[in-house]
Amino acid sequence: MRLPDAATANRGTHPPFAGVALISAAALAYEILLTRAFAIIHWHHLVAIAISLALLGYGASGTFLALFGARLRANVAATFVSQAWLFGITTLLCVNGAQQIDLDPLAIAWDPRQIAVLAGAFLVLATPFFFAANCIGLALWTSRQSLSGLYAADLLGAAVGVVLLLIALRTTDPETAIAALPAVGALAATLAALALDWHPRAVTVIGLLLIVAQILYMPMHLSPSPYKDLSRALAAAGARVEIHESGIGGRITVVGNDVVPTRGAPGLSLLATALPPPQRVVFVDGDRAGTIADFRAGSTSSAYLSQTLGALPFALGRPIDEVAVLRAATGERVVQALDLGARHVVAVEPRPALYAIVCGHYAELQGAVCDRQRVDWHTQSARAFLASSGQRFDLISLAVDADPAGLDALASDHHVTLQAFASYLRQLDSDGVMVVEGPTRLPPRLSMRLLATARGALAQNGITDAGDHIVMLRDWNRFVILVSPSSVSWPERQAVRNFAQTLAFELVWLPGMREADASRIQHQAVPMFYRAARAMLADAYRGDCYQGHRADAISDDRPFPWLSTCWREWLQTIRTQHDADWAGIDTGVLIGVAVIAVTGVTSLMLIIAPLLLLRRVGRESAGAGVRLATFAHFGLIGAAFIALEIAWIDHLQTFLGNPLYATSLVLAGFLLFAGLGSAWAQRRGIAGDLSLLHLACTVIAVSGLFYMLVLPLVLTEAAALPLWARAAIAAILLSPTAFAMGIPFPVGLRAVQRRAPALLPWAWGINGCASVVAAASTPLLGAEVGFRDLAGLAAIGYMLLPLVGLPARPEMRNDLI
Amino acid sequence: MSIQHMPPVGWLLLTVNLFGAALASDAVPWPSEASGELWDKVEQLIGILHTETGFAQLSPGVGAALREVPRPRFIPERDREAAFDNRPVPIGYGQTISQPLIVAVMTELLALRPGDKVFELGTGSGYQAAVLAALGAHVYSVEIIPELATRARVTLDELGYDGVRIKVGDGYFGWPDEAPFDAIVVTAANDHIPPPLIQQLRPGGRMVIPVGDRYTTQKLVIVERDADGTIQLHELMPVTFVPLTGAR
Repeated sequence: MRLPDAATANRGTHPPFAGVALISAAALAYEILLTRAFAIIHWHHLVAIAISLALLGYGASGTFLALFGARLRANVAATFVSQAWLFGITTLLCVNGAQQIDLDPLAIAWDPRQIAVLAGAFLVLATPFFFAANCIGLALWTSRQSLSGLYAADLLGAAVGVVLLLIALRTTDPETAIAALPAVGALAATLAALALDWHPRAVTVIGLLLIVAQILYMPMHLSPSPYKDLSRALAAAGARVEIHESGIGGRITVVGNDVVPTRGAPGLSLLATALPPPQRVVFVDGDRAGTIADFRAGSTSSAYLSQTLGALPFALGRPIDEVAVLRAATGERVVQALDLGARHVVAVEPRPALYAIVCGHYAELQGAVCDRQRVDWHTQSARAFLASSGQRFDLISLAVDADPAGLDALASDHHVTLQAFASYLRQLDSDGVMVVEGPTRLPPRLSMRLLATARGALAQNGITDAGDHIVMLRDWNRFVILVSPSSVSWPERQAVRNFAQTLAFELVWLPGMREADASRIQHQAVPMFYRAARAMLADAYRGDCYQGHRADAISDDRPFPWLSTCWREWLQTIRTQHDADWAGIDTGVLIGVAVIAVTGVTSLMLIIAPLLLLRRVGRESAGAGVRLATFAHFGLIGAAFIALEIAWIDHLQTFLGNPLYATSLVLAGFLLFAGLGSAWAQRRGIAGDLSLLHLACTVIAVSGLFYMLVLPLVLTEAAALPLWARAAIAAILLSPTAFAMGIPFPVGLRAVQRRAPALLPWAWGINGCASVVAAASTPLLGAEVGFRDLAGLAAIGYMLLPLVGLPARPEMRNDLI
Repeated sequence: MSIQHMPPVGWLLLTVNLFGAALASDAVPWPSEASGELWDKVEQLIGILHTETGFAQLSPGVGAALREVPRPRFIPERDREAAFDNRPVPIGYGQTISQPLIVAVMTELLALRPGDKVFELGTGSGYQAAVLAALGAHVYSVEIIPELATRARVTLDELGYDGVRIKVGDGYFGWPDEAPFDAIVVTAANDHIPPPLIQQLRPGGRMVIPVGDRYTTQKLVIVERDADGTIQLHELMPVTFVPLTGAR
């Protein structure tokens, strides 16, 4: 591979700026749209996988250009135009094709064939990135004179593409946005054909025909997997869709059913004398978000709400006037609070579209929920609301809902962390209570970690006898934890006992209770919930694992409430019993490991193997030291860059209130600022490369420290600002880091070009491969070591670069070549 | 909608299914060496799990019923090979046929006698109903997905399990006309156990609820209704089978 020579550039044969900008915009839009597609089809936004797919395509393209670039450069026009057409055609084709693949990630534990299926889906979805990268890579490669302009077009195109996509997604659905991508590819190809004076009628006609045929015969439709809540609801007899609309907050579907009506009542007593009424079910991205019942006068009764676990705080006997219902969703807990005597409720729900459904389309059905005299709705994240509100409450209510299968092990939730609980407690009246409801698992996992978190939060508020401030009840599949800044009095304890006994709920924790009290109705071989609670709340408890499961407090740094595998004890079991407790591993973690394996193998196959098989590049011409330095330099950059990027995305999700905003801002921001840093480094003379690298690493190290120590405080303080202001603050905060992170790559490339040019393809390949695997690994690593420490590790990775020694000191250069 | 009031399209599907089932019926022999190995393995696992379940072996009637009912016939043809594995298998519409071990444990826990009446919420493939019918129980099963109900009806009819009645519709209120029941199986619990089902459980009767996802039964909940109407719950855990290590 050679860098563009002046002769080629001077002929002015590079693709037009607009064409490059369009491809760059469409590629980033495709990457972000994939996260929406994953959320609708499967169960998460899977941001890291979308990034991994993009890097896989770009990495494979780097190898492809390294191997065949010379031939392709000979006919830039034909190559760019054809690759742009292929990008456009494959965006639609591959998303549709991937949906035909029978992927069931949950079956991986049973069916190893699913790993091959997963790899197939990866390859299909990464294909458009490959063609986009070919366009951009070729454009940058063929023009030295206009390099900065093309680079600017690439970066600006990406940034503008993200903004346009976010605007589009406010009014249109992801399918329409995906279906528009072929047109963008076609436009880029046409602009290039005109600019390069190459008029391939046949290519144009074939390309257009293929796109039109796809739009006509393969209409874009993102179908939820059959295992999604929505699919199952729609399969039931009598199901009808009442509302189906997309917005920036997700796709909302409301399903009604007169034949088999839904009757949701989480935590309803087995002895309930009142039953829940038929309800409509509201789904967001195919996942059940809540229900809407018809509570108009004379229609149905809400009396059943007093016979659920969620009624516990009202049974305590304390006055409850002011209530905050966090993540109010469709307002079921709002109805409950009003029914059970609350004077006024603040309902906080971050998805405006959900509020619009509840208090727009169905405002009349739930009556008081949308009565502005009694309920204030705030469409923002709970933490942002509480940070900006000085209001005090008698009750703060929160529910945790997740996939009980364990697939949510890697799903973050910043609303049930130590820092979040501490802030909730600070906004309670002295007699106020905070309640958290959630689904149970055996052995106890989520509930145990929530108890540890509550204990930590009480301690942060100066309360050390946590056991006297906490009550926990459960039924067969749900629990409720009550936490109060004031201790639970004797009369209140008796009231809790009466409440539990009347409704056949089991006591898990009540100050002063005995073990025998924990198995009166719901029997286990040993009262596991009680013992776990006792361990968590014991004065002497300092552990982070309990009987093979994590028992540490959930923190903002590791906001994974469902993560439960305690690896230390898991490994100890292997050592002592020579057997592995596979059942003790979270399913989500198993799938995460499978994804890492698949990305690792595919990136090796597509990026590294071609270099090994097709051309023994660089082996003969470079010494071992230079080879090692090249591999280490570009491997470290690849892994550390992505780790920092994903850590920022995770951190900004709550701050910006929407994963789509966080993903878009971080991807575009890093691309833009790192690109500017890279361009700035390229314009400086090679003589300063080593000092440039030192400067970049220092900036990254300082910003890494900032991330670890200051960023959470800044984000908390700014949480109440409007979205545009928060986005601007986030962009400003990440800009110095991203700018500095753009420098080591061109510095490294320049060093390789001087010291061992034949290793240039390897530099691209190693960097791509490390990036792909890092993108897939970061969620798992972040969950285990924490995103703060991961950011610190990534910063250390950058700080090692000068020690690796790829840009040599001036006096050494001649010796090393 | 009752199976008796099936629309013409339903009858067409039924005919196609019957024809397909007839063609496929000889494809996977049952009982066979593979099926014998499967149930031997399950019985071995039950011995290992005795501290969790409270019994060390299946009663002869349950063992015979499990070996009698041809599991492959309740599985769509493309996944029929998996019928001999001790694992759940997808049957379409986001549902699975339960893991043989779980079916065995649940059936044993119901402690049925011939002639008992059983209500099942969630017919699914119809396999659990067939096992209960093979024990001589009268099964009343409700399924919310019409296609699954039709398929289960076809399979059960073809295999001659006429002690199973299937209804498509809302099972929340049980089957009041046939209540009370000696046993109830709830495989399609939503977020709570419908209180009407408790009312339809005969005093001294048992309700069994598998809790978990489509591939992993995390625990079994047993609800017992005493003669005085009070209820007791027992949770058995973790009845999880992991392919690499056996029972856990």
